Amino acid sequence: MNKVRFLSMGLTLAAVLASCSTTQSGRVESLIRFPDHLGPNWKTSGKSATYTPETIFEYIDGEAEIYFPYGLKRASSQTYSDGKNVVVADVYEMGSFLDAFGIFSNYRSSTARPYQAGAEGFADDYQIMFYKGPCFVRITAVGTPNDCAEALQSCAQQIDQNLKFESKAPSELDALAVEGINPQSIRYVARSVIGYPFFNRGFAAERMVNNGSVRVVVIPQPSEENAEAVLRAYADFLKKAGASFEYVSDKLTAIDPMYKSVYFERFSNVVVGAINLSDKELGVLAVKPIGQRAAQVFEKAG
Amino acid sequence: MKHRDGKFDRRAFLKITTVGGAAAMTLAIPRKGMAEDAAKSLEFRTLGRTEMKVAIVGIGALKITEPAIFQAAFERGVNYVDTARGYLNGNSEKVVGQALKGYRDKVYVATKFKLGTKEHMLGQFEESLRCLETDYVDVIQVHNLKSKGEAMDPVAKEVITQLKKEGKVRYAGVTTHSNEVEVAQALIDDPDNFYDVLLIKYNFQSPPEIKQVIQKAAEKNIGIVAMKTQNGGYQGKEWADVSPHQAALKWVLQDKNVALAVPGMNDLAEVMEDTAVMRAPLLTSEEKRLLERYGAYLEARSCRLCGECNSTCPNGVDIQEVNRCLMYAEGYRDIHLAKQTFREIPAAFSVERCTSCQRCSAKCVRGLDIAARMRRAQELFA
Repeated sequence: MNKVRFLSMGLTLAAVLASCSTTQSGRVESLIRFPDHLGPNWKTSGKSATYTPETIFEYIDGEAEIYFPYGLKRASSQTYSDGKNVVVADVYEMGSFLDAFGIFSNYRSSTARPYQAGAEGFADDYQIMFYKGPCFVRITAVGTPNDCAEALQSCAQQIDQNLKFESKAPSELDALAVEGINPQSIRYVARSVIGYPFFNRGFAAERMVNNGSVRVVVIPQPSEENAEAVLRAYADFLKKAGASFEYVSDKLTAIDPMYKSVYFERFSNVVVGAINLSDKELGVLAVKPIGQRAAQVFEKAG
Repeated sequence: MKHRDGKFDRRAFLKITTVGGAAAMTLAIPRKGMAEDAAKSLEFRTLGRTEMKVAIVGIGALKITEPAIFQAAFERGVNYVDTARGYLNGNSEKVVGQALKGYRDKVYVATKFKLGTKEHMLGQFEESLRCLETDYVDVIQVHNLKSKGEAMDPVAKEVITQLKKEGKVRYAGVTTHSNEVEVAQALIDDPDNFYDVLLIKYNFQSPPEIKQVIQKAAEKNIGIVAMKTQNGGYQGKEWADVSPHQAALKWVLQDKNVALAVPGMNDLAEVMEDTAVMRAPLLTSEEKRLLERYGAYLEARSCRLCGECNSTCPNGVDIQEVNRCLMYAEGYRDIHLAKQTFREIPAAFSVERCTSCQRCSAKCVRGLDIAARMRRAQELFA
C-alpha cells in the first residue's frame, strides 16, 4: 500500500470518527435514522436519499432557496407506502438549533393542531412538522387521511426518538420571553428582516400592548458598533427615500415608506423596533422591555 | 441627527422609486412627474392566448414573507404574482393575500396545486382561495410536472374545467422544472389546447432545446412564463457592481416568445434591481459579453460537493467542506454562515494544512482548480 493511500485511509477513518462524535458541527448524518416500517403493511419504498445544498434543487426545487440562509447542510428523505398511500419523511439538517427553529417558523400553521413531537410539533390530516436540535422534520402523507394517520404518527414518533437532541427552543428565543409576546408569532429571519437588507438577520413577532397587537423586530449584532451601524443604515435609507424621521441618541422615530409609523431603539448590541404603529408611544412601550431583555441575552451570548 | 422633509406619502414614495436602475438601497429622492414618465416606459406583453397584458417582470412569491415587499413591486409596475399552495405550507399564499388588499383588481394572481385525486385537488384549490382572500385566481397551474402522462392527466383537466365553470379560475397552466421538453411538447400536441400557460425554467445556461420548445409553444399561443432566470447563480465580489442578475433577466426577456419572467426576490433591494429591468429590458452587447464571462465564472466555481477530491489531498484538507464554505460565501452571499461553518472544520482537516505543498496534487473530477479555491478560502476566512 503506498503512503498516500495509507494516509488517505487513515484520514477517512478519522473523518468518520469525527462525524460520529461531533453532533453540532454539521456532521449529524449518523443521527438521522429512519424507521424501517410504520406499522402493518407500511414499508419503505427504496433506500433513503440524501441531498446536499448543491443537489437539494433536484428534490424540492425552488423551495430550496428558502433553506440556504438557514445554513442547510443536508436533507435526508425516506418514502413509505402501504401499496395505496404514501408517507414521505424529510429531515433537514440546518446550520444550528436557531436555524432549525428559523426554517420551521416559516412553515408554522395557524390551523394545525399541536402535536407531541420534538419542539413545537404540529399536525394536520396530511402532515406533521417539528424541529429538534439542528434538524427540521417534515412528514407528509399522500392518500386518504384516515389510512395515513397512524403511519404519519408512527413515523414522527420514531424519528423524534432517533434524534438525540433535547426537544426545546433555542436559547436565543429567551430574548423574546416578554409579557404579551405571542410565542406562535415568533419567527427567526436569516436574511433581510422585514425585507430590508441592512437588517441582515433577526426576529419578528407580535406583542400585545394596551390591548392592541404590535409588530416587533429584534436585530442582534456582534457588537454595539455593529448595532449602531445598523440603525444608521436605516436612517440613511429613510433620508434617501425622503421619509420623515428623527434619529437622536440611539432612538429612531419615522414614517417608514413601507411600514408607516415606526419606532426603533438600540439597546447595547441589539436593535429593537416596532412597526405599523398607531402612535409612537405604543412603539416605545412595545420595544423597551424586549430591548432590555434582548441586550442581556445577546450580551451573554457574545 | 435630525431630518425632516415635510409630509410623506407612502404610495407616492413607492411610485417614485420606480425610476432608476440602482441595484441596492439607493432610492431616488422624490421628483415631480417622475412616476408618470416611468409608467409610460413600462413594457407589457400578452400572455399567450389569454387576454392578460402582463408587465415583463412578475414576482415569484416563494421567498417573500412581507406583504409590503409585494406592494413595493406592485407600485413599481409588477402586475403578475406567482405563488403555490405548497410554498411555505400555505403561508406564501397568506402573505400574497395580505399584499393584494387594495391591489386585487390591478394584479394577476397565479397559484398552483399538485396532482392528486379530484377531491384533494379541489380541496387544495379552495384552501388557496381562502388564503389568498380572493374568490378567483387568474391562472391555476398544475405543479411540477415531469412527463407527458402527468401533463395530460384527465383528473386535473376535469378539476380545472369545473373550476372554470364555477368562475373560480380564468386560465389553466402547468409548471415544469425537469423533463421540460416532454411536458411542453405534450401541451403543444394537445388537440384540445387545454393549457394556456407554461411556467418553465429558462435562463442563459439553458440548453438550445428549451429555447426551441418555448418557440413552438409560443407559436401555439401558449403563454410562456420564465422562472429560475438566474439559474441559482453566484454573485462573486468581482461582479457586485455590474449586476449580472439584471443581465440574466434581460437575456430571458430578449426572447419575445417569453411573456414575462417571475424572478424570486428576497427584499426591497432585489425588488428594485429586478423591476428596473422592466424599463430597460434591452440586453446590450456589453451585457452579453458580461453574461458569457459570468457563465464561465459560474461553471468554474461550481463544486458539486461530491467529496471525491478529499482523498486526493495528502495533507487531509477537507476540501469538500471548505468548498461548502465558499459556496455559502459566494453563492448565498452569507459570509456569517460561511465563517461559522469554516470554524467548525476540525483542525486536522483545516485549510491551514494546505500551505506545506509546493504543488497541489488534489484533483477534482470536474477539473476545478482546487489550489485556487483553497487560497480563496484562506483569503476570505483567515
